Amino acid sequence: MAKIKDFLEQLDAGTYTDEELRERGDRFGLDGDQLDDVVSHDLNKIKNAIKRESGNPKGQLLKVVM
Amino acid sequence: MSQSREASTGGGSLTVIGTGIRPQQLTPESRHALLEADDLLYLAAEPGGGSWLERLHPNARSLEGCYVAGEERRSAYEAMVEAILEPVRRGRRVCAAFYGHPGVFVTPSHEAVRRAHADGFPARMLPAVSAEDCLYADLGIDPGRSGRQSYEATEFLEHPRPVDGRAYLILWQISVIGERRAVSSPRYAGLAELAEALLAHYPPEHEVVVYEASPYPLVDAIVERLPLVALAEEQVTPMATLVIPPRER
Repeated sequence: MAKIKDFLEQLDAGTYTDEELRERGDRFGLDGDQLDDVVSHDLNKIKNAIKRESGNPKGQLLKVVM
Repeated sequence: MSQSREASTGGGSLTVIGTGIRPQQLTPESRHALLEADDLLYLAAEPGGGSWLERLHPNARSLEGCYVAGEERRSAYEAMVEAILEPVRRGRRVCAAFYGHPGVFVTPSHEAVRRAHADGFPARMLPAVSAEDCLYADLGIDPGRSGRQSYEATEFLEHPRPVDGRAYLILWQISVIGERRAVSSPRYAGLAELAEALLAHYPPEHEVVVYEASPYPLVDAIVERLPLVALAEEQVTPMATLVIPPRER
């Protein structure tokens, strides 16, 4: 299970300070490393964290649709 | 949808929606259609994606299984169309959800609507937020100012088009150029071919942008700026898009 992904997907649309994001993430059950990843706002870093959490050994399956 | 058509086809219907690039982009109109449906069939951008849709709808089922690694993607699209239409023919109100805009770079969505209509079922497609919409917002581009050309990258190479140097050129699916199968990793060889073709229209130092919209809120899009000559060596992400700014302003 990728908890960071679940957290970001359920987040209500809006603007949050990093502090607010950390508070919400903490309440959601994210640990310190996960919170650091979330407030990095870095897509590559977050994708890597999600990949690690989900234990997907095959990597991303391309779903290009055409 | 007309009542007479519904009556003649046992109540089955199809609504095709797009989820946007991230869950927060699902439009109220699409959300309503999703919640009203008897069955939800969906295709997420990545394996295991779309779990948020399963939390929204009790009868949600992924179309991911239609992809078979190594097989032609058109086989997967045919399987998706049939998976979508089967419950419609049983009288179910079906919602089919695709990531992004359901009518942009999505073969099975259009085909499902076409076949549903041909079989006499009410069917419609709702608009949604596409990757191109995100691109304009993230890169600060107004296509109304200089115009833009937009092509799927393989199509652009196989059937060359005139390039307007005063407009933006946007090329999609640059990570799988020439690849018609369902694959699990990018095909970088095609980038060299694409760079060579573009060098016929732009100088080597012309800055291009490799872009990927963020599927998560509050997370920055990937925006890599590089000279065109360096494109062939770029390790692009699977969902990357190439944006080439105008040569002449």
